[in-house]
Amino acid sequence: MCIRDRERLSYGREALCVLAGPLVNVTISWLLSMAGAWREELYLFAGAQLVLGVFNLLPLSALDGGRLLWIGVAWLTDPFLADKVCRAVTLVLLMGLAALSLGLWMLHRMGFLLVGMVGIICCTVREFALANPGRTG
Amino acid sequence: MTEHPRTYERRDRERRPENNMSKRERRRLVRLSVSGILLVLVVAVKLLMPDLTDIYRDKLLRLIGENTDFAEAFSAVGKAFSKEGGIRDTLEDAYIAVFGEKEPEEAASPEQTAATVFSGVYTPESLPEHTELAQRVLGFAYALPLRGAVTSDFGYRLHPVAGEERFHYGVDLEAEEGEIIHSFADGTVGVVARSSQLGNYLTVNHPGGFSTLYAHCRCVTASAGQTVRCGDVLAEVGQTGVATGPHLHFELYHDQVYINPIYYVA
Repeated sequence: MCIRDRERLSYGREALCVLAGPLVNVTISWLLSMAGAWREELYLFAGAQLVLGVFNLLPLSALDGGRLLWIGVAWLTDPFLADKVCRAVTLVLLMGLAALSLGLWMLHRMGFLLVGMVGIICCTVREFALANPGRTG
Repeated sequence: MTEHPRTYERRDRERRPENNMSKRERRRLVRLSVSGILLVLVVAVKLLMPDLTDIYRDKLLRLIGENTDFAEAFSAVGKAFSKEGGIRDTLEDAYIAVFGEKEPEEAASPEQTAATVFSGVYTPESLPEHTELAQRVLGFAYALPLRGAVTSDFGYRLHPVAGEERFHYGVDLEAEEGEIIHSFADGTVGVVARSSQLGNYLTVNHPGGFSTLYAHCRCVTASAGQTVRCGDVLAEVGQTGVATGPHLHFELYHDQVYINPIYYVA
């Protein structure tokens, strides 16, 4: 799929588009949290929404947070530097998350982050692979 | 003769962009077919070998959710907007819900009573509330959770770590680290969790409103909700939580009243 340069959004508009997702998350979480006064179970959904939204805002290249980071850096400097910065941030954060998930598993036998890491790593590897179209495409 | 190379060249030129397209299309086709084959394989395995998939599904679910009470943690976060405390309080609540710092899960009130006692609230002389020294008729077959000497009785004792007199709500059975803990009787596993006082612990609900608790385990092999028979393997002895050495802390209660287990384990 090719997007012609004329039809591309400006950085500001693209940022707004990307922010729309987390905004929906936070709004729904707030609404459910208010409704939780009537039904106790709704706090569970509100919390899940909030956790999901915050996780989505992590600056990993596969997540919305990573896209926002890229847009921000590209807007301030240029897209190639943005690429490099995002890759670096993603790698560092991935290693940190991997260490955290291993730590949680070893110390507390909590495996949820470990399982999540598999998905995150797959998505990030795919992103990096697609960025170099010569290798896979 | 000169015409042939020209038409060949023209056709060759026209063919080249089509080649590029088909290469990309071919790659996409390969990817699509691989995905399709994987999907068919997974569905086939699920349909033809349901027991196998159940085993691995249980393993995966256990890996993800064994020691984490997601409902509690998410509920704590969800109250962020409506609670007066604000962000810090909700983060603290969520942390406690996940890591169980102050008290055990709020699954059943006996756990909460235990937590309030262990934080130093006790009545001297008379028995604390919710305890009973008399022997009760259980009404079901039972067996020793493990073979071991009773190192600490039910009742008032000098707490080995806190150094003051406190009521001991169960009995301590001496055992080596890693020894298997068996279920006291038939029942269903209630809560499998971790707290800073009891370490890794689990409760089993038995018929007639009785329940047993096994604490300071090294690891719990039974999962919450699992049906167990008398003598089934539940956990391994450890010294997690507040413990001076590996032992099993065994509690027995009926409808939130602690009963002296000594009659059944000695």
